[in-house]
Amino acid sequence: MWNRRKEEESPRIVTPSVPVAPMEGMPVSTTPTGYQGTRTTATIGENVLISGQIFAKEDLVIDGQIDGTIELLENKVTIGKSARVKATIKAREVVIHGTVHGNVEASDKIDLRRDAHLVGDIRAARIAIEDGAIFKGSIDVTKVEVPKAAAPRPGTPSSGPLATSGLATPGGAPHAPSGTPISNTQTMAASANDPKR
Amino acid sequence: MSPSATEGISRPSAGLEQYFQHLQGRPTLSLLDLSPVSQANVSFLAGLGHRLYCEDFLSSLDDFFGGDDDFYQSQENPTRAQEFMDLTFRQLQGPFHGALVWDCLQYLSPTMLELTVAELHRLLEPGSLLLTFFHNDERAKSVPASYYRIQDYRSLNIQERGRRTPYQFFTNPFIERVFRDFSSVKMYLTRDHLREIVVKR
Repeated sequence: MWNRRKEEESPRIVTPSVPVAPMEGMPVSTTPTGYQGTRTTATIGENVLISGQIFAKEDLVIDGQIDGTIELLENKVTIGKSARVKATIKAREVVIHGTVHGNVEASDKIDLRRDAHLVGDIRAARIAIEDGAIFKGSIDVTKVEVPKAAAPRPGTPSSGPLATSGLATPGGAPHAPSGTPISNTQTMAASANDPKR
Repeated sequence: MSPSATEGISRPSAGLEQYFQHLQGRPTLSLLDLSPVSQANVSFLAGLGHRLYCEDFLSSLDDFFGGDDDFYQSQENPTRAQEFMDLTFRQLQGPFHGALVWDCLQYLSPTMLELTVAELHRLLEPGSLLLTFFHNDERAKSVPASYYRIQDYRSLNIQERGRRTPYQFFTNPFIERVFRDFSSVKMYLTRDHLREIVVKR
């Protein structure tokens, strides 16, 4: 009973779509923040590399290296100063401090801060640009329609009954239960099954 | 004018005014802006309903050719020059309905100048306008390179981003020769020793 309740409280469940070899002692690629209370933001640490797709239903801060796609249709993604992202990003709001190569689409706002370096096309209802931001690409300020509820994707974590919140890396990132302190000091290797590799 | 070291100088711009007169009543155009991306320009142009393609041409030039003594010499290497053009312009899908080139062309060697103007000619829709600036002080060894921020249809905020040495002084006949493939060239002399050039494709 106690165990079951603990499982129910878990706000973030990641189900790898590809079997992953057990990695004993390998830290998970995300660092939860404020897990004692209501958690609304997940963090991908500086020394984490993820290759694949990321879907989330909570805000996300990325300080590591991402290669693939990032979708947080109803949430905000912050690309930190140390982040190196090569991905298509779709979110409600995107704040960029670091380096991004890829198209960025936001249903609400894209915020390019002074250290941002973005190469790609951007499309959003609102765009804020700080002096010093480096940008190469097209800018389309237009209302981006977002589907009300993302359709479940077969084989992705969001299709699972418990995957109501959190981020997933179909590339095979293992996960820790909610509230588990996670180290982000090692680099997570990408899945060998990733077609890009 | 309202001079300030950090906020720059705001002044009317006859070139800009003519440029926007041409765009008036034509929403959702594709425009090319070769200055560093700025909130002012994006807000103004997007506010008019236009789609903008931004490329900080001068910074790309510095990154590729280096900002040192070899800057112009490197640009004269035909292979390197072509590589730069490919990196900068080849992926662009024209046609654009206008181009804001600002003061970039002054810092190009003859080879690069010819290639760049040819690319702009290729990318622009016939009848569209290109706005570019050249400094008018023949004796100056270095001239201010600036950020140009659009304030409204007829005024600009100009903020210095450092001084640079142009490859050459651009006389009016020389400018006309540079744009010989375009259909017309109009020049406006300003009080701050700039010539604002409106070129029709």
